[in-house]
Amino acid sequence: MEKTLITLAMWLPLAGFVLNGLLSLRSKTANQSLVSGIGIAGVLAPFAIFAYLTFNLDILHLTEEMKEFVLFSWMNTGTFSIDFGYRLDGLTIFMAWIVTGIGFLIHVYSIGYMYAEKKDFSRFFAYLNLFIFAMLHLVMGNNLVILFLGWEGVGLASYLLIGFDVHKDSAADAGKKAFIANRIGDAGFLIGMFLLYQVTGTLQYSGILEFFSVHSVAADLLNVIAVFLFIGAVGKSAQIPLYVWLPDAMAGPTPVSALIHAATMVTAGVFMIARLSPVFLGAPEASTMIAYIGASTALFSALIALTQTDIKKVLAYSTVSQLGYMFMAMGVGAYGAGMFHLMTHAFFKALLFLSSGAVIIALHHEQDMRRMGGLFKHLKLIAVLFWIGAIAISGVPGLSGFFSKDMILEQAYTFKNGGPVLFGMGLLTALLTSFYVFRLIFLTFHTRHDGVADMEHHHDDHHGHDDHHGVLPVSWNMKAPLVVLALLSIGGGYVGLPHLFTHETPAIVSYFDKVLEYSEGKSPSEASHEWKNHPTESEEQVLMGVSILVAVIGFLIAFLIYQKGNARPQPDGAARPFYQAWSYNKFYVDELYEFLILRPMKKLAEFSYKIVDVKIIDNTLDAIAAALVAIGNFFRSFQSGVISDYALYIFLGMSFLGMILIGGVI
Amino acid sequence: MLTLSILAPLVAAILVWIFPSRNNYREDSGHKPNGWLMNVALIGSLIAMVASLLAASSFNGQSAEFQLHEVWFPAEGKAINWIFSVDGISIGLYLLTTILFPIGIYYSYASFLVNAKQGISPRREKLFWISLLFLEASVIGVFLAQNLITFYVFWEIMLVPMALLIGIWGGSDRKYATIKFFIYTFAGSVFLLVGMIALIYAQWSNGTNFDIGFALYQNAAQLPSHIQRYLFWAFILSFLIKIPAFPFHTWLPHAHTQAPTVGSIILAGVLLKLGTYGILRFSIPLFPEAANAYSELFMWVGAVAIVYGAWLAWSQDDLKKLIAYSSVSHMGYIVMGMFAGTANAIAGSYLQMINHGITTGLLFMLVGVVYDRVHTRDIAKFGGLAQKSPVFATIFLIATLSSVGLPGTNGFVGEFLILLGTFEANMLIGAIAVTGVIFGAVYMLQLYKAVFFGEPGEAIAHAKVSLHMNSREILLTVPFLVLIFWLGFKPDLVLSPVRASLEKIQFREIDRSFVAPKIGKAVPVEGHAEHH
Repeated sequence: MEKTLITLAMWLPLAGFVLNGLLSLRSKTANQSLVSGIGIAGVLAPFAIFAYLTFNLDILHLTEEMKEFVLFSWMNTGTFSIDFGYRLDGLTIFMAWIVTGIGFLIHVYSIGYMYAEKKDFSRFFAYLNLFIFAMLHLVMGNNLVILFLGWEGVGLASYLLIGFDVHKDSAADAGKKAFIANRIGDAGFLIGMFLLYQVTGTLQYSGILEFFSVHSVAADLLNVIAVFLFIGAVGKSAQIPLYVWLPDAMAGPTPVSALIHAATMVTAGVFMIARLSPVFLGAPEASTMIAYIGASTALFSALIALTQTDIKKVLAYSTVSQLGYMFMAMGVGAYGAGMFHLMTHAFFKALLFLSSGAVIIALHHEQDMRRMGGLFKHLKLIAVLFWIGAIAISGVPGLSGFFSKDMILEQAYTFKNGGPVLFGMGLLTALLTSFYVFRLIFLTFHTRHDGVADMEHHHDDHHGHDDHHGVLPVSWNMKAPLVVLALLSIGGGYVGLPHLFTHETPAIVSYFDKVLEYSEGKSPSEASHEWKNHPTESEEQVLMGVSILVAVIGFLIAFLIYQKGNARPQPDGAARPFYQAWSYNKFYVDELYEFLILRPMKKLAEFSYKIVDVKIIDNTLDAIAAALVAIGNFFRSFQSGVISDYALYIFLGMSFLGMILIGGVI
Repeated sequence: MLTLSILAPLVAAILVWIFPSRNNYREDSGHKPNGWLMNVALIGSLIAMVASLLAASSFNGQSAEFQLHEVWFPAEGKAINWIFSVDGISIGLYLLTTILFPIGIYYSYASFLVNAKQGISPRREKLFWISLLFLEASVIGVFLAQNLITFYVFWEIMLVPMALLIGIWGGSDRKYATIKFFIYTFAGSVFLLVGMIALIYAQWSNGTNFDIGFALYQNAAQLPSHIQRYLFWAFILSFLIKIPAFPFHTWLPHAHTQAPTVGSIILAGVLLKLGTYGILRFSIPLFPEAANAYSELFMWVGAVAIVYGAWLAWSQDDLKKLIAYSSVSHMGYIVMGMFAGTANAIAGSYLQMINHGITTGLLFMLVGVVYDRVHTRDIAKFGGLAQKSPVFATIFLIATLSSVGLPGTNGFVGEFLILLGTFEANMLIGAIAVTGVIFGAVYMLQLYKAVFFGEPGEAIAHAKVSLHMNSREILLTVPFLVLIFWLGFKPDLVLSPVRASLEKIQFREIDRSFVAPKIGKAVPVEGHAEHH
């Protein structure tokens, strides 16, 4: 029964994809209620099934036989076999809730958002369902190969949705960039997988977990494996140095940015680390590296977010930054904290993205904050929701982001390998986060600049016709999911009330300690116990106080500069002080990659073709052939058919023989 | 049944030849393609397909022996026997051949019709069908022959119809391409012939004849190692040219760009596999010691081809050339996997042979479909096809994803098993080959973007005929699409009948030298590998 239900939940989204996909091939303007009905069903059905399972099964106490089941044998070579099957446990059900729950809300939102786009409505919903299908396989599979199937599958959905607007070259380029950056990560991930297979002899989770419960593997080896697996996470979860695809991915429709490029897909790397906790917990050096890469990513992308003017770009860099927090948590062994932030971030970042989508739609597809301002009076509800998201992300006490971020910072501080450094980076990031998100709020909704008037003026200048006047109304099916997400952003943090308040391990941490078992029944917290110092209560109070303080400071700076000071970001070409220019131009990382990697690679490829292949290999071949022909021609020239020539050859030959004979006699 | 699948195309060829119809028209004569001729050819190849499927249904996949013997000219002693039979190594390729040919034949007709609508008449139809049918019979013969000399005869005959296909119906530079293809592969074959004769000569005294089988394998394996090595080189040179492996690959892009679409489908789908088939059939089982000794060298040859081929593909501005170079890269995986010699790698290589036939066959067909409408292959002139022809864009996307090895498609299973198996044999080479996964995505997505996204390019905007695929063309892609997903999820379709035969060939045991010390209760490590 459970198995049938899970199988249905896993494959219904694919059915939705196929149906809507076929509809989109048949006509560009399919019946919108039919299409959205299919699309919604494709995500609501699995959501209902997972909810049913959660309430009807004792998820935390499933037997091994109940946890994993096999649908069919996938590959079998005699020495290696992998089955197609699923795993139901506390980690997978947690992820399944997020994926289908937020997925459902965003599907509903998309009906309103995409309604304006009469064309390709069905194609959009088909891709969304394809994404749900792949993402569910990523989290629910019972082995690493199915995880990889989902891993690349979500990459495909992401590629298709980023390039959804097939006319736009820039969108297609962004899609390609995302796919290839992910592929770089995937190559590393494959190597990690192969190494892990060499060690454990299996890629199935139950086998891997069992293996680590009875074998101790050298930390050196696990460090190597963990690093390669992490390369995969770097690609998928947009960490340094492969994060560059995510900001460009904002070319996709905004619901896609919320679902794929904020709430779910990009967190796959964090999930993967939790899933393979025995590997990463056995690899202390690799974990330290992960923590530092996470912290650096968090800080670096927050610096870029400070000066961006495109509302979605700010949120994109913010996502990269928040993902950095999650990896910082995973790196210091605070798996519960990492997963906690994964969840709260899914709530508030989806809220922020979808609200920005509402703003963008209301302003007729305007994304530049320099043309916004004063929207509060036009979009009151959206503004309030946006404020809730901003407060949640900035770490103001009471809302979800505060609890999860604070837990990460505290855990980072206790880390023995440079905890205060990590904490410092995290704290600075928190300050910047608070600043950039309130900057965004002020520039968009407040300040004396009137975005609506600006828009009308702008459009009058360019088009000279009237159909762009006024703010477009935001439909109920866009507002309703936003309200739900706002409630979650407010209340979602209470599953992780800090130790300081309750004098107990936070509920979510003990949940993941039960769910993720490490060797000989040690939980992640116990396994990473010796990585950490243990803070006193007064230390905990100071840490929390400081983190609240920076959130407030960030807010105040943004308020003073943009609301009080009424500063506006400069136009693109304007001269900026160098520190602003570096941030605004994303520290020129794209240009650096272009110069250091892409162009040399392209040159090398062209050299391989034009010089090595054509000039050297192929010409050598032709030269050999030509030489053979020439030799043939040379000998053919003797056979001229002229008697006197032949007489000459006979004479020469006879003379030669004669000379040899004479020589022999002498 | 085996014999029938060789004879049916030949009989059909004769029927086409004596069919009462005029044949030699000029391109602008306004003459329509003759459906009857095509029907005869199609029926001939369909009979071959049905015969092969019937043969496959009585094939016993548990056994590594040659099965279903059919003797044409029985002869005693050391004669040249005309025996046809199949084993696990040939059965998959045999079926691939008999399935690809009817599709190729019907596709050619569809292509003639599209061209006829634009006033381009087919040239020398009869000879065209006859060449295709002869090609089919001889390729099937290669896979079924159980005698060295019979094998060689088919191996050589095959060159003639293929050369005709390129030379008569090819593009503007067809003469050069044909000569290059013919002479290069022919030169390779000479080594093969010499090797075969030397092989038999070396063991003439112990009564070995030319029949391929365990007696031959056993006796060959007992040859002194220096002789094994000479013979190994003689065989492998010929195969490397055929595959084509780096650095013998330069004939391929010429042949592909000049060949008519069906020629490319067959060339990529089947003919390239002859080289890798030869490795499995001869190089490894005949000369195990030499194969083992050179295995690292040839794994490098494969790995270099993967990366280098991908770079070359990245630099192309001609659709067909790009796919031709992608073949070099993909065939590199197969060579590398075969010489990695582990069970996983060899199984992956075998599957990849079939996969490549399906995927690249489909890609060439799709290129043909669009070429028939716009008459250019210059990628720069494309663009915006996704809006103009969404069905075409979707099918091409599936082929692209299969080519880049996206999980869920056939390409993934093959690549994954090869890389996994290569990793077991040699981590460095495995790690280098894994970068092929990145470069593969680079060139295929660049191609896809340039052709399908953005605003319509010159060739697309000014196309004179509808860019939509017609129902005939869509129908022809269905078998490919079904196989892409079927093998993506159930590769056992290919792997289980061949497993027993491949086990004989695998020559490297898995190296688990750095498995961990145990703590707690002792569980043997090997147990993990087997109990799932």
